[in-house]
Amino acid sequence: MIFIVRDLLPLSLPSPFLSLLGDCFAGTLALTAAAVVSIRLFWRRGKGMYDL
Amino acid sequence: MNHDHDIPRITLRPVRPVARLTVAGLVLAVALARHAWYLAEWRHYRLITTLWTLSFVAVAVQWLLSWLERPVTVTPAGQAALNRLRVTVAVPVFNEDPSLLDRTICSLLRQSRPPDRVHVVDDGSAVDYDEVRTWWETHGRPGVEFVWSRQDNAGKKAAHARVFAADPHADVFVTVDSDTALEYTAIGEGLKPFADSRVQSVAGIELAWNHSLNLLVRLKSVNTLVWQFITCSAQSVAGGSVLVNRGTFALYRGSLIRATLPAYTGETFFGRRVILGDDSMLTTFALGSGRAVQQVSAVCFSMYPETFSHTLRQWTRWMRGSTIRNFWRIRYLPIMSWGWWFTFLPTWWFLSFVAMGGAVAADWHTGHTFVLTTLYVGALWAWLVAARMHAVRRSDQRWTDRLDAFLLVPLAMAWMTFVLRPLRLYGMATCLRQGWVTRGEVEVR
Repeated sequence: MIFIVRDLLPLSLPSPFLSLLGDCFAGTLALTAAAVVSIRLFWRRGKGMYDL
Repeated sequence: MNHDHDIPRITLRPVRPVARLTVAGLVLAVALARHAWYLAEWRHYRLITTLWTLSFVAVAVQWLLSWLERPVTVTPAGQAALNRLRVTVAVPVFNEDPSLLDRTICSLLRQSRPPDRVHVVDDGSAVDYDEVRTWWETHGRPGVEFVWSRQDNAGKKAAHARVFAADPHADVFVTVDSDTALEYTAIGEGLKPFADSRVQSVAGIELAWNHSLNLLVRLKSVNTLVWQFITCSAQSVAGGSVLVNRGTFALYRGSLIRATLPAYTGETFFGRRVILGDDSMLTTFALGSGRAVQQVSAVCFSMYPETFSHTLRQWTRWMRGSTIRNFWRIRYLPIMSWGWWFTFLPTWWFLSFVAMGGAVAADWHTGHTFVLTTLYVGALWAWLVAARMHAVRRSDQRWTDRLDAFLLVPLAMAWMTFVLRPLRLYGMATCLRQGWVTRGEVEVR
C-alpha cells in the first residue's frame, strides 16, 4: 500500500535521501532474492511438500 | 447457562461491477500516468522509480482483482451432489470460556445445512465443561452425531488430527475455533466451491463478534476486513491462491486431509516441532494439491482480543507461524504461480519498509517529510481500497457502525504500520519459539 505514496513524494526532497531510499528498495530486493534462492536450493532438500 | 444464542445474520451488498471497475480503472490510470511521468523526469533515480512503478502495478492488479470476487453459486444438480457430502466439524478447545463454546456448538447444530458430525476435542483444559457437554449430548440435533473427546494438552494440530483420524469417511472437514459462531448459512455456502473438483480448501469470512467493544477490537476488525476483502479476495480470484485460511472457520476436502495428516502433525522447522500455523499449513497443502479459495457468503463471528497484551501476543504468535509458512510457500509453490508471487512481493516490501524506516531514523531531518507524505497519502489510499470492506453486512450493525469503521481506516493503518509491523520483526526473529502464548487461562468472555 505504501508504494503508491511515491506519487506525491515532494519534489523538494533532497536527492541523497531519495538515493538512499532507492538503495533500501534495491538492497532488500537483492536480499530477498538471495534468501529465496537459498530456500529453493537447500531447505528440505530432496523432500516433497508432504514428506516428513 | 443459557443455551439459546442469538447469532447475527448477514446479507451480501449488491455489486455494481461496471461502475466499480470504471472508478478503480480511472484512479489507477491517473496513478500510472504519474509513474510514467516520474520515470521520464527523474532520470537520475531510474532505479527507485522503476522499482516503485513495478510495485505499484502489483498493488494495482491486486486491488482490481479483489473487485472481481463473487460468491460461488451452484446448479441444482451441483447442489444435490453437495448435499450428499459427509461433513465433519472439528472444534478444538483449550481453556475456552464455557458460554462461548456453548454458542459455537449451538451455531453448528442450527446450520441451514447441518454437518453430519460435530467433534469437540478438549485439549486438556483446566476448565470444567460438564454442563456444556451434557446439554448438547442430550439436546443435539437429530441426524447430527455429537462427539466429545478429551486428551492431554498436545496443541491444536493434535486436536484436529484426532477428529480427522476418527472419521475416515468424511468428504469435507470443517475447522472451527471454540470461540467462533457460524452464521446460519455458513456451512452450506462454504461447501459450494467444492462443486469444482479443483478446489481443495475454502476460507470463510471472519467478522468480529465483539466488534464495538473498544478501540482495540475496532482497529483489529477494520484491519481484518481490509485484509480479507482486498488481499484474500484478490488471491482467491487469482486462480484460487488464498495463502491463509482463517483458523476460525475453514473447509477442506477429506482426501487432502488424509493425504497430508502425517506431515501436518509431524512438521518440524530446523529441528523444532512446529505447533503454530495450523490454518496456514493446511492452506499451503491445499495450494499444493489444487485451489484454495475464499467464499464471501460463508461467514463466522469470532471473539477478538480485548486487551493490549492479548492482542500483541496473538500477533506475535501469528507472525512466528507466518515466518515458517513463508519458507514452505517459497520452497514448494511453483515460481510461476500467483501464490508464490503473493508471498515473494510482500516479503520484499516488508523488508523494504524496515530498511526505509532505518533510513528515515538515520536522517530524520530530511526523512520526516517523507514520513508525513507517506502518512497522509497512505490514509487516502487506505480509504480508497477500504471501500469494499463492507461487502458483507450484518444484522447487528447499523450504518453508523459501518461509518465508524470506515472513519477508523487511517488509524487502523497507523496501528498496523507503527505497532504490528515492527512487532512482526520480533515474531520473525523468535519464530523457533513455538509455545502457545495465549490461553494460559480463559482470556475472552
